This record gives sequence, C-alpha cells and structure tokens, in this order.
Amino acid sequence: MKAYGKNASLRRLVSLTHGELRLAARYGILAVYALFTFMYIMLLLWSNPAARPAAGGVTILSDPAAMGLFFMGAMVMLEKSQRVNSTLAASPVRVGEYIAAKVLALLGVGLLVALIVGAVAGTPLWGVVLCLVLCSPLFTMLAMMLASKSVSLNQFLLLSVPVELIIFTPALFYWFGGVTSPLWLLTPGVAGIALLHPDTALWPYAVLSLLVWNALVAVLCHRMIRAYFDSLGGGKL
Amino acid sequence: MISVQDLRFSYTRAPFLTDISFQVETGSSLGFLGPSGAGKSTLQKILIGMLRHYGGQAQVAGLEARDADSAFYERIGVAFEYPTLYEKLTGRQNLAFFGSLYQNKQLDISALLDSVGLLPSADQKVAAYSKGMRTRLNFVKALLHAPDILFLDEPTSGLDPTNAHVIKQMILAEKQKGRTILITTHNMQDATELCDQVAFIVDGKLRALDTPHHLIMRKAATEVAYTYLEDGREAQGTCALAATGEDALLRRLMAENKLLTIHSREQTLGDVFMDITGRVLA
Ligand SMILES: Nc1ncnc2c1ncn2[C@@H]1O[C@H](COP(=O)(O)OP(=O)(O)OP(=O)(O)O)[C@@H](O)[C@H]1O
Ligand SMILES: [Mg+2]
Repeated sequence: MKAYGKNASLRRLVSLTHGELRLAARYGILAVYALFTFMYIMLLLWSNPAARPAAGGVTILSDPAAMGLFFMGAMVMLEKSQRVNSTLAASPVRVGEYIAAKVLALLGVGLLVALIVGAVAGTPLWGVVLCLVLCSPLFTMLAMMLASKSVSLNQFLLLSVPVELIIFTPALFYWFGGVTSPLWLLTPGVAGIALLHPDTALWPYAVLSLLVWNALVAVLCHRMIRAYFDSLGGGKL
Repeated sequence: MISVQDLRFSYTRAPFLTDISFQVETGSSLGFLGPSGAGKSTLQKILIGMLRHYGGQAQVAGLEARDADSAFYERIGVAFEYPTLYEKLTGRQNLAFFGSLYQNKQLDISALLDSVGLLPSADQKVAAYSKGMRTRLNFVKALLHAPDILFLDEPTSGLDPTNAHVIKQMILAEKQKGRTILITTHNMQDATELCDQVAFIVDGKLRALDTPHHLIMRKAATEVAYTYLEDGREAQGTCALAATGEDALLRRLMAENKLLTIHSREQTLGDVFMDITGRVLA
C-alpha cells in the first residue's frame, strides 16, 4: 500500500475548503454576506463617529456568531438533504478534515468582512483578527454539532436561537458596561468581544479562555460528527 | 479480496443478518440477489465500513471493515442505491470535486461522462438532471479514482434498457481490468450477466451461493416441450431433457417426422430463486 500521509490530508483539506466556499457562493450565502457588510458600513458611516467603535464591536462579534452559525447550519442541513455525506463517509476524508474545511471556509469569509467593518469602525485590527480566529471556529463547530442532531432546517433554527442568546447576551451586557467583573471573560461571548476593546490588558485572559473553549468544543464536535458519520449507515447500537 | 466469516448484524435487538460467510477472489464479481428488505444494502454497508457494530469477520482488502481508514477508502469505489450528488454543482463539477478527494489520479472526466451519455449535460446543474441521469452520474462517480473494489448498489435500477445495457457493459469492462466487484440487485438478468457468483439473500440469511450456471443447473432438470397434431388438433407433450429417450410418444413422433414444435425450457435464476427460497423476486 502507498505511503499515506500529511500530503494527502492537506490536499483533501484544500479541496474541501474550496468546495465549501463554492457551495456558499452557489447558495447565495456569500452574496448575503456582501449585502450585510455593505449595510454595516453604511450604518457605521451614518452613525456618530464617537459611537463607531462601540457599534463596530457588536457588529463584528455578531457577524461570525449570528450569521456564521446560521449559515453553517444551513449548509450542513443542505448536505444532509442531498445525502452527499454518505459519499464523504465512504471516501478518504477524515472527520477532522471535514470539520476543519468548514471552519476555514467560514473563517476566511468572516475575517474579510470583519476587517472591512473594523477598519471603518476604528476597531483595533489585531483585536479583530484575534476575535475572528478564536470565535469563528467556535461558532462553526457549534453550528455543525447542532445541525448534525437536527432533522430539519426548522429544528436547527429552533436549537440555534437559545445557543445564540446564551453566547450573545452576556457579551452585550459586558460591552455596554452592564457587567464588569473580569470573571465574565470565562464565557466565550464576553471573551470574544473583549478582544475588540482597545484596552489590551484583558486580551491574554480572553485569548486563554477562548483557546480552552475551542479545545473543548473541538473534541465534542469531532465526537459528534464521528457519531453522525457512523449513523449514516443506520447502525445505532 | 473479500472474506466474510460468520457475520452477524442487526439494527435492533432482534437478530437480522445471521451466519453470513462467503469469499470473493480478486478480479471476480459477486451479486447479492434478494427481495426488498432482505438485507442486501445492509451487507454492503458493513463491507464498506459504514456499519461498524457487527459480529464475526468481514475482511476487505486485508482489513477488517470496521477498521476502515483513509487508505482503505482510496481503494474502494461505492455507488449507493440513492444518488449522492451536489444539486447546485454541474455533473462535471461533482466529479471533479469528489475526484479531488482521492490521491489516485482521477480518470478523465469528459470520457467518463461520455461513456454514460452525459457529456451533453456535463455543464448543467444536477438539480436539472432526470432520475436516470443522476443514477448514471452516481455510477461513474464510483469509478472516478480507479478503485480496486467496486460496491454497486442496484446500479441499473430505474434505467431504460439502453442505458442499463451501457452500465452493464461498463461493469464488465471494469471486471476485465481485474477489479473485484460486488453488486446488489433484484434483477436476476443482471445477476446472471454480471456475476461470477450469486448469493441469494432472504430475511437476512444467505440461502444459496454459487455460480449462476450451477444454480440454474441445480434446479430440476430442464424440460422439453413439444407439440404435434392429434385427430387434427394440436396437442402438447413434455418430458425431461435428460429423459427424451424414454418418452415413447416423442420417439414415435420423431421417427414419423410428426413434430410441429419442440423446445427446451431452461430454468432462469428467478425460477431457481423461487425454488430455493420460496420467494418471488420483485
Ligand atoms: N438505517 C436503518 N435503520 C434501521 N433499520 C434499517 C435501516 N436500514 C435498513 N433497515 C432495515 O433493514 C432491513 C434490510 O434493509 P436493506 O436496506 O439492507 O434491504 P435491501 O435488501 O437492500 O432492500 P432493497 O432491495 O429494497 O434495497 C429492512 O427491514 C429495513 O427496514
Ligand atoms: Mg437496498
């Protein structure tokens, strides 16, 4: 048998990521992103320059969070309905590659949007990069986990709304000074939005918190998608 | 290439597939023939590592199926009984995408599409394909990375005779190239034409396993039916092919050149299936 290594895995990852982006374009998801970006920029330009950084922070976090989560869920549900996952499960694609490709595709798009919005809003761009790199994968993986358990798009939406609220509500409270305790940095939403604040003193804690969250969710996501691929054959016991 | 020993599996607590044992040599083809719900697709899903909770042994290409890894999947090609294609991509894009997931150099996509008559629709989205077009695309998708072993679940189902013929010729061509082929079907004609061995599967059990020729021979001897004129009316007689010499009437008719018609009635695999399993193939 041929030597089988990293090269093949990398090639598959590139193919899968490219495939995700192409499908996102076909489903009109990229167009919706472009539209939202345009809308954000317009709103920011219209708003009082003093309020721009605050508005920008909320926009940037909500972008990978709210939109990324819904879009990724929709993509997985569409895959399910076309049953292409059976073919992927019977191909050399590994679960990790399948997850990583989706994470990378959405991170790429999200980063582009966030950097544009960040530049207009005057958000520290290093913070934008950190926030996206640490938050977007988290939300993508959460979306995949929810979608793998959903039988319909409606069910996915129903499951994802509470998840969005749980992540997003503390972040908003924190951002607008409703809560101030640094302990809130233990939650992913607050940690994410703290990276969009010019005060870099808290960044290391936020980064650490998000790294832990990503590691936890990555392990869970890998397990759930593995179980989901296994369930495609129908074996449950 | 494939070796299955005492295989057991069930989706529920009640036993379903039981005591399944068979071997498939490299370069030969095996057909699973059985009525709907018999467990054919289930068996196939076990062999491609998609149902891992089975008992007994199922070795494919030297690997236990439940341990299937990337290197294993490089070597097998699977066509599921339902099409698994991206609706928003064209036929060509679907093949290019799935092909890009394999290390093996993929076959020429235009040539593959052409071989199943899909070249004119190559750049149309699959969403606009008919059922038969999807079936054909789904079939060539399994050949794309030139796998050693092919798993084809009802490859001709729902196709018109011309296209079914094309697919069957392609399967035979793959066999010529030395591929090992597993086919699931309820079509006994397909099984007879394509398979070196045929396995009858009913209610999760392997009821017979042999070459189509032997299976047909196993059934009560071929009959001879003949007609002749008697009192100005046509009459019919039958006897076993192996006993034509003992049929006095037939001998007399032959001696007097009085036979109107005579033919032997070979048993089909379908007759044999019914004989052995007591079930009719759909
Ligand atoms: N995912 C599943 N979960 C639970 N039971 C299943 C599942 N898939 C199939 N079965 C059951 O297992 C039995 C065999 O199904 P299978 O698909 O193997 O049949 P088949 O021989 O391929 O039939 P057909 O010719 O209709 O394709 C059926 O009774 C079916 O209801
Ligand atoms: Mg079947």
